Amino acid sequence: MNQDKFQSRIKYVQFVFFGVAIIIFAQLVRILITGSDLISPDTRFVTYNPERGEIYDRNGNLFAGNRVVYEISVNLTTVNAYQNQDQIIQILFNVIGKDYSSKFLEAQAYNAGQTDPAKKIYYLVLDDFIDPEKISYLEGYLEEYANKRLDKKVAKKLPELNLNGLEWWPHLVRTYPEFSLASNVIGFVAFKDRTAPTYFGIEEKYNQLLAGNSITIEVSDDPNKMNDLAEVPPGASMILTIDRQIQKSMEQILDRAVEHTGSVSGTIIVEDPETGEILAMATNPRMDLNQYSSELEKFPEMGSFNRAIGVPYEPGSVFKVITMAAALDAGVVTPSTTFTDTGIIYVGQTAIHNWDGGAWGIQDMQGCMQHSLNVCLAWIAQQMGSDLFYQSLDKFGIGRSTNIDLDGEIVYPLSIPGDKYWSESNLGTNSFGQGLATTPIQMITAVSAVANDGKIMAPHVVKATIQDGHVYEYTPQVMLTPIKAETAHTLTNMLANSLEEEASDALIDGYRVAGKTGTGEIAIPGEGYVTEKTNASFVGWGPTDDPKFLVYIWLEKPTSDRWGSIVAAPVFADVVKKLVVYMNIPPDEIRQGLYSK
Amino acid sequence: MAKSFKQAYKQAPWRLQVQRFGVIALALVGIAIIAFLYLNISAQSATAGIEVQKLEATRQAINNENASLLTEWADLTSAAEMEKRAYASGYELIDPNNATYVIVQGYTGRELPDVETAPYTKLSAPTVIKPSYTQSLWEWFYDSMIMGKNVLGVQP
Repeated sequence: MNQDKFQSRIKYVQFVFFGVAIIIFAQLVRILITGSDLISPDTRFVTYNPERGEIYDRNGNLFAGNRVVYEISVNLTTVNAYQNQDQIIQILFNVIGKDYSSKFLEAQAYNAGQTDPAKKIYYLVLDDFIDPEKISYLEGYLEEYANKRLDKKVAKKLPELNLNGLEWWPHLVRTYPEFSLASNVIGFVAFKDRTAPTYFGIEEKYNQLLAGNSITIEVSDDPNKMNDLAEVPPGASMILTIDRQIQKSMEQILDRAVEHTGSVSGTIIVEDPETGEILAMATNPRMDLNQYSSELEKFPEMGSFNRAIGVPYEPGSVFKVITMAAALDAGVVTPSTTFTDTGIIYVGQTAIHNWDGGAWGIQDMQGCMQHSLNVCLAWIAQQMGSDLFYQSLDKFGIGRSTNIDLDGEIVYPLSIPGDKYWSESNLGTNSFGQGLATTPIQMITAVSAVANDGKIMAPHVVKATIQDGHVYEYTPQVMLTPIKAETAHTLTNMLANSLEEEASDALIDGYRVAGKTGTGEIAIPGEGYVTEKTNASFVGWGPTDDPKFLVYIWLEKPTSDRWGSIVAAPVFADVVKKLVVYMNIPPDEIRQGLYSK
Repeated sequence: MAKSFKQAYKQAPWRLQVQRFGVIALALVGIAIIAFLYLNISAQSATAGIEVQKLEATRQAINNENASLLTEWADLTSAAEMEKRAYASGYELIDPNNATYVIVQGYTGRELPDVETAPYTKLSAPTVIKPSYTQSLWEWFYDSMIMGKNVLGVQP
């Protein structure tokens, strides 16, 4: 072998190896410094929202759940590379039925005006909340198209379908399978806003628990970095004290009552006085929670989404239950105390009359309650004195929040002696529920002391929370004890007798119930109290020997009749007829017979 | 003498060059083997990563489907639907005065319902796989070099 020739060949080989080494080194430097599509892929930050917890009624029926919808988007870089924008628009028009060309034009116009590459749109969302059926149709369409092209003869006629850059991603949104049922209690998630703000009710009150903790992670497109996936717990689920069947039944009764009485609105609350559990909280109007954007206009006033907790009003004579309970408990009066009703009494500078303007003569305390005598109750308040009277109201929680676990409770402050707007006449008017304002939830909470041996249990709508696989059950709590058990039993008997002697429309066969009607006059700015507009109410409970339900009814501005005894008392009877069935409460005779066995 | 002895047995220069080339070639082969092993394991790791991602996506899809089915079930058994079906089946609300009541010993009332809650979710937020990871070398070369496409995008 010619040595020179051999050496020059060796040099060539060395040169080639050296060149390759230089190229590899240069490529490594380029990758390290400038990054590469392959070795150093793009990363981005994605906020991950865990699945929102469900809301159930006390029997496990779903009130609020989640369903899958799809977002359709395009990666504009890819679409620009493949020049397939028109094909994507055409396919989506065929399948989804919408023309997205304007979206592309808008994005292109925006990008054309942007000099900063970081501010350009690369990921364009074309549409969101697409039903899974449409996506299935799209996937089926693409599969069918691909199958057709497997046949070479057909493939020549059919152009290749190029949808590179088109993406569709599933995500969950809130849904309410019961539509408007208990809508005032549940509240809603404005799911069409991707930040998903919550409004009212359980959804807002417990939003942090239901939503869980959002996590923002850096997402890499490098499969090598996909191993370390953090676990995200779902949001907590909630079981409510609401009974779906009772709630539905109450809403039906309320809707009928509002219609028949020509009322502006209405509320029915059903509570278990022994535990403070709210079994139903029906309001009228309500809204379909799935259509929140269009239905929300039904609630123009503040607090009107859930009138049971958000709209204070002058309750009228139902408030006499609290005044009488306080007076009996303090020993200011006994059931046999008599009062001679002359039809008028002056408290401060104000003359107080009875509802009918009449004088009812000598009455015992049951008579005062049975005939709902304002003059008598104002006299009782005078006998108590303002200090004791307002201390008693405080013990019942009047003028304070009940702290029910719902968002949007409103409290109207109670004027007490020493306040700017308090005068002595308030003592008289407050005794029969005028000159003060409470919400239905405050009233039912206060009166629950009479139905529950003198104890007020904290009202609540969440029975249990399920988080991380553990069930945390709510323990009923005594909130206040404003009166003695003996007082509660005495007043319950007085009120039951009152209904029976009046042959009230609130009575139902087989069950002894106690209750009180109320007709609150409405003060209109500039006009004062107008007699033709009233708030008709009823509060009642039963069975009287072992109360299992406590019901509060409010009909706002009824037009068929102004009196609570006419419009609200029959609603109570309708309510009890349903409750005893749904709550499995036998008629008194049968129940007592069963107990005696 | 010793010096001249060494010179007498000195390797021919071309032999030395061959030896040097052999050493370099051996080193390069070693590097190539290491690079091959590294790439092979990286590729397997990437494949496993993609598989993990796919499985997580499948699990997420199943979770989503479960949520949707739960809601669908709730739609079918909603209060309004059940009432309709009850009336259609001839049921009516009982008159409590005509009902028969019995005491069931030991029954303490309804217990809390056993409801299903969503399981923990492994994060599988929308990650996408670039064509670089799924294309063959030839496809990548053809697209990027011959067709001149900047293939950064993804397919669903």
